[in-house]
Amino acid sequence: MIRLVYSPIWFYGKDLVIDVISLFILLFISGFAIKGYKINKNKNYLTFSLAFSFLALSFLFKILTNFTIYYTSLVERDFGLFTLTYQALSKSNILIIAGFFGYFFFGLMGLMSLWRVYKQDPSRSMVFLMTYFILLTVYLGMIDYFIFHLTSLIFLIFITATYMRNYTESNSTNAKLLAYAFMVITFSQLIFVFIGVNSLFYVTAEIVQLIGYLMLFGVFFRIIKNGKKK
Amino acid sequence: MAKRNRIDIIEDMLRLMSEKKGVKKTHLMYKSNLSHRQMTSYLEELVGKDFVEKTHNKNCEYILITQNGRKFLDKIREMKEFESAFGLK
Repeated sequence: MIRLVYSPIWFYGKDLVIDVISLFILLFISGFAIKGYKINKNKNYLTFSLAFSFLALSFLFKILTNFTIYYTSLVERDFGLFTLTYQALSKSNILIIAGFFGYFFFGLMGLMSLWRVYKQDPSRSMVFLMTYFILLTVYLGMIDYFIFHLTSLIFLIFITATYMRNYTESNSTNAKLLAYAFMVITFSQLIFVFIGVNSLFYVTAEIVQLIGYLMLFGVFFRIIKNGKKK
Repeated sequence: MAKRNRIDIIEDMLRLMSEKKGVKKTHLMYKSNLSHRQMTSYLEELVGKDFVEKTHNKNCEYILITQNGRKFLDKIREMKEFESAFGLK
């Protein structure tokens, strides 16, 4: 039996709302990048949009899986004086396993695609190797959740470092705010690594992640506003 | 100075037109730093997409930006801001 739920019961549903908000922010930015690609045909826009779509898809899998776990598998048993509520899931539940696979796989593919945007033409063998390691991480992540968050954290550190470098080179306020937003999202992954220790880590990580994505949306909104002002 | 791409040139042309109420072809050509052939080709594309229109005043031809052209210029500016913040060049 693997542990599937890290959220305390009182936080059920609230984490889903946070993930739905993050999903919409990701879709919004992905849609904008696609429009940009239609105008300038720059392939980086396409990869960027794909990365954000993968991340959104990952959130969709997470939401659907957690929803299924929270609201269809909680079993209540009456034991005379008290009622016991417990999870009635087993490792064999194929739908849940497929849900977690989608969540891990698309999450890591999204981060890899985003990392790829900033690498000058990585070779095919490199991308193949990375995809293989992602599949390996997904497999290990199914056994222990923390492997997935640790790998996401490593990707995010590299991506945030790229945004910091972009800020120092461009000296733009938007680039600075974007780097800060990614720092917060990276920090949330660091907290996610420890969710096995205590369920409060899960709550904190979800809240920090929400702050990060809201900051990302704020920067995006600012970019659109600044563009119109020019 | 980096070489301008197609979108940079269109942005320069539309920006010039948005700053004035009508621009002469020769003025547009010099200000956009284009040859006559290049400018004619770009202008044909912009007219075809309804981003600019031609008018005549005292035997002179003027090029005006349309509402669609202004909207497209806004889109280009948003995109450039996005490109700069996310380092997408």
